[in-house]
Amino acid sequence: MLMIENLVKKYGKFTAVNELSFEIPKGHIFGFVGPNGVGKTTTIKIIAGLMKPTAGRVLIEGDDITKNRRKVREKVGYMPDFFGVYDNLKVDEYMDFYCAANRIDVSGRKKIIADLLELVDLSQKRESYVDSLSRGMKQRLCLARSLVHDPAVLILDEPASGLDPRARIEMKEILKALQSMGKTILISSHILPELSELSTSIGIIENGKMVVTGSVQDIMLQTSNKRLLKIEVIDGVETAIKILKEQPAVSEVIRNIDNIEFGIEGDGHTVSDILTELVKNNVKVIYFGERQKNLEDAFMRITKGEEANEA
Amino acid sequence: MKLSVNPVLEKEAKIKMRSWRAPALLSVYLLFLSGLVILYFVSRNLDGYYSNFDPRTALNIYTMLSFFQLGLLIFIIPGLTSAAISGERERQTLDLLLCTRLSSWSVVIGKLTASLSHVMLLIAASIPVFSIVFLYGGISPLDVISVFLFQIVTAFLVGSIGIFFSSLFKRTAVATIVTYTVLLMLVVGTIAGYVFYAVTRHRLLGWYPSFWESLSILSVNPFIGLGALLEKQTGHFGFVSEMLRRHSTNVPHYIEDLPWMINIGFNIVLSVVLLLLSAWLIKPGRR
Repeated sequence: MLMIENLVKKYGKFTAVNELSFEIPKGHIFGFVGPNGVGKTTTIKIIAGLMKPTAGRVLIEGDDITKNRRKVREKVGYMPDFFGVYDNLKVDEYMDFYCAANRIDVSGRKKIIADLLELVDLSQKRESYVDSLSRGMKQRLCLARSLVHDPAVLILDEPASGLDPRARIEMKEILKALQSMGKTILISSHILPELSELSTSIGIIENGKMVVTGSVQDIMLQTSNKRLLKIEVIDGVETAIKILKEQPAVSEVIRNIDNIEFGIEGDGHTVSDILTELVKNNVKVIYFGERQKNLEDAFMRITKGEEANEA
Repeated sequence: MKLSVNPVLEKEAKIKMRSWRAPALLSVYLLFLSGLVILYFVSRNLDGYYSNFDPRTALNIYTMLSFFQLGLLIFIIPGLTSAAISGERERQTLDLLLCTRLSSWSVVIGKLTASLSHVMLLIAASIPVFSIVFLYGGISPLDVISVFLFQIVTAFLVGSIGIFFSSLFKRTAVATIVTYTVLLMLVVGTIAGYVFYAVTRHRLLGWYPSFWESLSILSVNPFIGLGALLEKQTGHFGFVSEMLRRHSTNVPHYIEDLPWMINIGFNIVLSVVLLLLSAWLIKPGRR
């Protein structure tokens, strides 16, 4: 459905996107993840037809949209990481304007606007001025706006940024509903737990290159085969850390506010030996268990963030 | 056939007319124009010699109002257009607009027509003030319409300059300052430049610029164009003819038509070029 092939974007000598390739099948939600300034927004703007790639292709349903801007406008719905609103426009006027801008016939607009406002739960706000809406409502309105021409592909740049938990859950539900309607969705987000819950597949980008792609489980397997353990102690934190660091099977000991996390390579015996060693050294352990690995772990392991960008 | 209105024009008209600025601008505009007429009558009445009916009153008021209205429009229009594109950028709505099926040309034209429709409203509102001249005679409605059309063409150029700099610069403040600077060059700079050129040339070479040289430099100035049109309508040869004829021989008899015709042609050609450039500047995928 959406296929990116060897996409390159250069600004002078700086390469923002470097031979980027990935594919999103129809009806899938693809989580596009990466630290700031690694080329996510540039990639998104190329897909949305707002930038020209230096090289490479973007194919939607087989059409190369980098060569045919008209196709982009028909097939792509774009929601940027900000919501541009006009003062003195009501919600239904705002929607009507974007319907008109997308050459939707006047006779069909009323139903489209009603359906979309219903989808994003803003039907009761259609007579309100856009600038009087809450941030979450504006975000939902922006999503509705990007859907007026019924695009096959939706590109969402940080759709949940700045939203409160309730608004984020509502946004998630809407995206699930859109997926069930067969929309192919690309979401760029920094809220990794939600993204891993929502996405069919994930792609992690760094320095303009796709570092890893696949399902959340695949990515976690690809990034590390270590188990993560978490312990909580009421006394002897320093001793515990010292003992853990001395163990050859243990790596990456992290002291959190109320617990210690570490990675371990080995079987149940190795784990049991470590616990025994802690208890023997009078460390008062109140919790010792495995911690579920998540996308954040994989992300932190894969990406180097700003250090990598500076290098 | 269904009439399709440019969506940008429709949206802009809705937004502009809902704001307090539109009626405020209209009121201040009419206050200035009618204030000028009142001042004229007051000054005439203070002079006992002119206190009776004088047919020249119509011509004087008409000329004064026409120049004043042109000046007001040149002053007002950059305020309406220089934020047209940069304002969308600052509001972060330009990308959203360019993602729709509207072409960048449609966006530019929608913005310009929205501003020009505002200008037309100001001009239409000035009709009652201009109608005073009909009480005295000597000026026909066709003359007034010609002046209005000339002013609309000038507004077209001024609006296009505003839109162009609004597309070129990201910040509205920069676009506004540059637009006013360019207009100052067009209005004051052409005359000052011409005078400087004529004097320097006379000192260095011993002769003044030819009629055609003078015409080509001065005719781009909207006030010279309007002056020539008013001279033709009223039959009084004034400063425009004077400037062009002063040091020139072989001056054609149709001289009074040339400056305003050249000015209109210049305005239209430059406007189209600026609008095409503006559309190119904001075209998505250009970067």
